[in-house]
Formats: sequence, structure tokens, C-alpha cells
Amino acid sequence: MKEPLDSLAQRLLTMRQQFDTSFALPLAVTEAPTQKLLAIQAGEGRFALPLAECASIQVCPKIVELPAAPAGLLGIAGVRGRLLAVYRLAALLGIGHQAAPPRWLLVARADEQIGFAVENIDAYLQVFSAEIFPISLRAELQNPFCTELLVHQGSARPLLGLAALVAAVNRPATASPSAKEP
Amino acid sequence: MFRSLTLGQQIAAGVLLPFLLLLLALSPISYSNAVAVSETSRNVAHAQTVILRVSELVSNGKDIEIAQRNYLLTGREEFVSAYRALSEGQDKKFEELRRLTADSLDQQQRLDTMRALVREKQIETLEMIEARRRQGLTQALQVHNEGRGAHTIEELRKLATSMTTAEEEMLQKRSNENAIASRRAILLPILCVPFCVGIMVVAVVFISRNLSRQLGTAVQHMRSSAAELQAAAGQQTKGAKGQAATATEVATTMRELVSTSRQIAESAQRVTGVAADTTAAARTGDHTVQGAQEAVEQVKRQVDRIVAHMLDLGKRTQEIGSILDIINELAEQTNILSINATIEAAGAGESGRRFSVVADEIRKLADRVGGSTKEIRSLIEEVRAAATTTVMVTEDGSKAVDASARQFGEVAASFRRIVDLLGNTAQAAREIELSTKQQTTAVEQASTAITDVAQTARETEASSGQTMETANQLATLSQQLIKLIRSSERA
Repeated sequence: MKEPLDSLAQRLLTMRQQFDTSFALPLAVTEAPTQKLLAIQAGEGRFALPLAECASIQVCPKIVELPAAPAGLLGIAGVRGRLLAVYRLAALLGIGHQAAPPRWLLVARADEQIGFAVENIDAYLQVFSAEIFPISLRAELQNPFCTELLVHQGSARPLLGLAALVAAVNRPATASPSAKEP
Repeated sequence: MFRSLTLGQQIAAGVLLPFLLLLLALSPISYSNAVAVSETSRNVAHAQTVILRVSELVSNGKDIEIAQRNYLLTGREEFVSAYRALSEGQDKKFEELRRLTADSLDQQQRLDTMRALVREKQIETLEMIEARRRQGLTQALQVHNEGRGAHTIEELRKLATSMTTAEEEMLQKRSNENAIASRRAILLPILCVPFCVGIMVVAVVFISRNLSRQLGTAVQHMRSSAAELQAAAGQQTKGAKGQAATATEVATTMRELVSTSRQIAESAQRVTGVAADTTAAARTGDHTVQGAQEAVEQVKRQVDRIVAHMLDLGKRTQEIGSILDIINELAEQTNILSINATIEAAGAGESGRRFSVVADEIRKLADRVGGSTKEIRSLIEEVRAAATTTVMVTEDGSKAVDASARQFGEVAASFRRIVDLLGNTAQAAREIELSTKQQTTAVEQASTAITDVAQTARETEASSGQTMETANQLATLSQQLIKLIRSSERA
């Protein structure tokens, strides 16, 4: 056992007190500008993306493959009565991934008929703007969809722009960013 | 043959032989004389009896005559009765005389004549009695006078006298014969005794010479035997001394052997006691080992139960992991829902701000749940690893317990073998003890026997000395006897 039972009981008591006091505290007003991000895992890469660019997060439903689909397009799926074109984000970013189907589906706010399938959603992050750096400072991480880099709590994640991805997949097929998924 | 007889037999033969010869010579003669004397005596007695019976017959006839006359004179019937009784007695006397004179024809003829005369007289008497009874005395006297009564009585007297004379002559003749036999019986011993004395003298001389010769030979033998006896007694004395010394040494050795045997018996008895104690201790050890073996078996069963429980614990941890997966899934979904709520709140503008706060709290809770599930999973993994380690260790312990059980079984078997071997040892020790006791008893008996032998050897030594002395005396006696025999021979 890493922690004794007394410590766990104290921890439980602390959590209960925090939960109880949260109802009594006034709404927090932060002076420094913050952004709400979503830490995700796409293939073998870990990224962050603005939560404001997501319309919703869904459990990846059954995907119906399309014949002669473009690269990164897994198929179409039905979400809340609407059909969505589901792209594999790792494939779009050119990152290696496993054959297993992705678990989560990110519906883009720019075009709610397009969803990006990712392997995992690591966390919801509310970070300060000072923790976000322009990607130009990191030449080795050059990616057309990553314009900024998040450095938060000792770890760095490229900041993806879903709008750029939506624009990329909506462009004609000749301008597709990556090859077709095997 | 005569030499084979003993001295007593020879003397008896020398004395008895003449007597036997005399007896053989005199016996037939004496017997014939005795028979003749006896026969003569019997004949004399017989003749005297016949004379007596004839005399009685005559006397009886007189009595009859008297009874007849009395009746004639008195006429009283009592005389008739007396007459009849006397007549019947006379018949019996005739019969007896006839039996006594059966060997003499002359006497038989005289008796027949006398009988006929008596019959005639009786008839005449009866006629007179009838005449007296019916016609009176006169008529009866007439009958008497007419009869031949007087003549008959005279003839009867003559016949009786002749019978008596004949018997007396016979008696005289036999008396003469008896006298001759008596003289012969007297003369025979007178003639035979000198003859027998002569035979006895000859026999005594013969026996004396024979005895002198035999005694000389025997004395010579006795002398040589006495010498041999002296030598043998000397050797016997020497041997008895050596035997006594040897027996004394053997008796000493036997006493030491008895002492040693007793010590061995005591040692064997102690060994028996030690073996019995060891057997008891080994049995106690066997029981202890059996108890330990049962305890080890109990431990093995407990270890098996622990292994089963640990395997069940591993299975339960897997189930907890599955439940944690569910909880983690729920936390993740809650987190996603809170994120979606945040997204929706952000889209609602200022009105969604409060909703956004609630969504943040929900998300935080979901994060905490996720973190807790991770911790629980870590703990479960640790528990599973510990359970696996415990199972492995317990299985090793179970194997060790199995090995211990087998070793305890081997130890128990060894103890049982030890108990069996100790039992055999105790039995062997008891047999050794018993055998040693028997040996001690036997050695004691042998020691006693050897002591007796030593005592006997000493007594033999003393007896040999006496034998030596006796042999010397015997030699001296034989010398004296030889001198005596030679002097008698010279004489």
C-alpha cells in the first residue's frame, strides 16, 4: 500500500470538504487570460486543441466505410440523427497509428458534418495564454495544422487548429494533405 | 571240576559226600525195614483185633444164652428184648469179622460155619421162646432139652478157639519177622558207619592236599597281586596328588569364571534395561514424529487452503479490476459529458457561465474518480503481484511442507525401524542375559563339581595311601601264609 488508511480517510475528508465548500464560493474571476483546451492522443502523437473549435465530443459510433474514400476518411457515421464524415486525425496528420478503431469522435464547430476520430482524450485543460507559444519558435515541430505549442505542467503538446483541418479536408481532392489510409 | 569249587564247597563236598553215600546205602534198607516193621505192626494189630472180635463174639454168645435162660426161667419179655438186641449185635460182629478176615480163606470158612451154627441156635431159641410164651416153662424146657443147643455152643466155642489160635499163630509169625527186621535195622548202621568214616578220612586228606595246593597257588597270586597293588597304589597316589592339584587350579579358575559370568550377566541385565529405555524413548520419538507429521500434514492442508484463498484473491482482484474498468469508463464518460457541457455552456454565452462552473466541477470529480481508479488499479496490481508472489511462495512452502512431510515420514519409518531393531536388540540382550545366567549356573555347578572332584582326589590320595598300607599288609600276610603252607607240606 502506498498510502495508509488514515491518509486515505484524510484525503476523502479533504475532497468532501472541497466539494462542499465549492458550493459556497463565489464564481472565480481570473485576471490573467486563459484558454480552454482539450488534450488528445492521435495515433502515437499527443496534441492539444482549443475546446472552442469543438462542437461536441462523441463516442465514436459505427463507421460505414465509403468506396474510393480519400486519404484519412474512415467513412460516414450517424450522430444524433445527422450523418458525419469521419476522418482519422492521426492519418490526416501523417502519424503512425494502430489498426484498432479510434474511440472518440470530435465534431468540428467549423463544419458540424465533419468529425475527427482520435484514440484518446487525455484531459480538459484550462491554461494561461502565456503557456502557449508560437510554433515558429520551434522549427523542428513544423506542421501546417499546428501553429502554436502548449507547454503546461512540464509537458509540451502541439496545438492543433481544427478549423484548418476542416478547411483542408474541404479543399478539392488534389490538395489533400496526406495519403489514403491503408 | 573239583578245583573249580570254592573252599566251602570243597569242605562241604568232603563232609557231605560220605553222608550221602551212607544215606543212599541205608535208605532202601531202612525203608524196607520200616515198611516191614510197619506191616508187621499192622498185621499184629489186625490179628489182635480179630482175636478181640472173636472173643467178643463168644462173649456175646454167652450173653445171648444168658438172656435166653433168663427168659425161660422168668418169662419176662425184657429178656426177649435183650436177646434180640444181642442177636442183632452179633450179626454186626460177624460182618466185621468177615471184613477183617477177608485175606484168610480158612478164617472165612470158620466164620461161615459159625454163622450157620448161630442161625441154627437162633431158630431153636425162637422156638423155645414161643414155647415158653405159649405153653409155659415146662414145654419150653422140653424143647430145650430136645434141641442141639449145647452141641451147637460147643462147636461155636471150638470154632472160636481155632480162629483165635490161627490168629495167634499168625501173630507169632509176624512178630518173628518184625524182630528180624529190627535186628537188621540195628546192624546196618553199625556196619555202614565205619565205612563212611573211612570215606570221610580219604576225602578230608584229598581235600586237604588239594586245598594246600590251591591255597599255595592263590597265595602266590595274592603275593604278586599285592606287589602289583602296591605299584598301582603308588601310581594312584601320585596321580591323585596331581589330580587334586589340577582340580584345585581348575576350581580357582572356575570361581573366577563364575565371577566373570556374573559380571557379564549384570552387564547384560543393564543392557536389557538400557535397551528397554531406548525402546521406550524411540517409541516416544516415534509418537512425537508422528505428531509432527500430522502437524506438517495440517500445515500442508492449511497451505493448500492459503493457496486456494490466494488464487481466489487473485480472481477477486481481477473482478475488482473489471469493476474498476467500469468505474474508469464511467469517469471517462462523465469527463466527456462535462467537457461537452462546457462546450455547450461556452456556446450559451453569459447565461452558460454558471452551467460551465457546474460542468467544471463535474469534470473535476470525474478527473478525481479517474485518478482514484488509477490508484486503485495500481493498488490492485500490487495486490495481484503480492498475491501471485504469495501463491508462488506458498507453493514453494507447500513443496517444502511436502518434502518435510516426506522427510517426517522417512524419520517416522526410521524411528519404527529403530524401535524394531531396538526390540530385537532388547530380545537379544534378554536372551544373552538368560544364557549368561544359565551359563553362570552351569559354571557354578561345574565349579562345585570340580571342588567335589578336588575333594574326591584328596580322598583318593588318602585312600591310595590306605591301599598302599593294605597292600603291604597283604604282602606280609602272603609271606606268612606261604611259610605256613610250606611247613604244613613238610609236616
